[in-house]
Amino acid sequence: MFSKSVVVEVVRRDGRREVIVVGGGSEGEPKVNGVVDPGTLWGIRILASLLANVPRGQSYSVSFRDYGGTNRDQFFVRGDRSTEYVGSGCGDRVHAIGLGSSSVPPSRDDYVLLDEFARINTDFSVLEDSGVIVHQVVYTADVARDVCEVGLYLRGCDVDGALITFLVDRTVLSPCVSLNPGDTISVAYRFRM
Amino acid sequence: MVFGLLVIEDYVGGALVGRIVKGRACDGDLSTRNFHNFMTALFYDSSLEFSVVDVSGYPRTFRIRYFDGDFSRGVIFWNRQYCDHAVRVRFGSGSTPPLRTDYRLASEFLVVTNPEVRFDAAGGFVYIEAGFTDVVARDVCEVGLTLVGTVYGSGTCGEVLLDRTVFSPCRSIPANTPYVVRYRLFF
Repeated sequence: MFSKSVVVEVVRRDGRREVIVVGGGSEGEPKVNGVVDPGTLWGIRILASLLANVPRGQSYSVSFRDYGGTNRDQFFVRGDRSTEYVGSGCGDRVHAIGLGSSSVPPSRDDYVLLDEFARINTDFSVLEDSGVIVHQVVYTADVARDVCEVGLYLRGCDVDGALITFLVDRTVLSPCVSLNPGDTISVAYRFRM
Repeated sequence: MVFGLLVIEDYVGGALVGRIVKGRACDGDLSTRNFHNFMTALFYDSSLEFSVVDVSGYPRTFRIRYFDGDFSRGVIFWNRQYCDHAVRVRFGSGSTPPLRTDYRLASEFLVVTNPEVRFDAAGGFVYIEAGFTDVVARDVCEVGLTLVGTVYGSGTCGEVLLDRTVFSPCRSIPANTPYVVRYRLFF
């Protein structure tokens, strides 16, 4: 029903491409006893609403069919107010991916990358046919870099109405990915249901 | 990190009869405690708020549900206090393969509206457990996990199917024998 993977793609200045996938295994349909076993479309949409980027003043709504069979439309996130559903009125509730150079193993108590050199707002997309939710960034190195850790940061309003950034995943790449000036790296968090 | 590894175990008369793992593990790869607290609050009916450590290292509190009259604070999820917030476990005898567009079990015979929900912060698990003992024999061929909350606008309560799992073969449960299903979600 659930899985997550981090897909790292590097494009060298000469055009060579390298792809690294951490976690999540194959992108094929999940199976149970040999039979395709998808999460429901409604579950995917609920999960997407939790993870969606919602700039101030915008909204994010989803449709689903409830257990009684009635089609429903629900605003999960509303950016024009600070109170209903998700308080994106406190700022841009746009999530980010960080890149860093520390190779210290991840810990549950990590709250920031340990040697971060870039934090970039993500592009967010939902691929409903395959049940995949994606946060992705692209970074082009201006100087030589070792990318040894990547992290996903969520942003939201806390109970005091302040926009807060917090780390929900730190993934360590082993070995690190070495970038030369002009190399481009793409990092995608892919949540699958 | 394993995002939401879902393990479904079921027990007949207290003995484990099956384990289905949905999701793929990656050894030594963890989500943060922040994410575990976030997802626990989604499934745990007693959670109104959850805590994180922000990027500056300060503890912060998020509200998972909107309180009536609570106009000055943000919340993170779709539900209002007006509706119940809960998960339910449903049991059925339908054996048609699961589809993305399933919104209910194919042939339901029982719903447990108050499953036991526990969380293990150290291990990163959320447990959802429900069962029944019936005076007649039952074939359990499908189980469903639903989320209860606000489904329309700001005040219509309802329920949404998150997962439907089909057992093949069906579990044959003798009369007067306890049957338990335990979901373990790992974040």
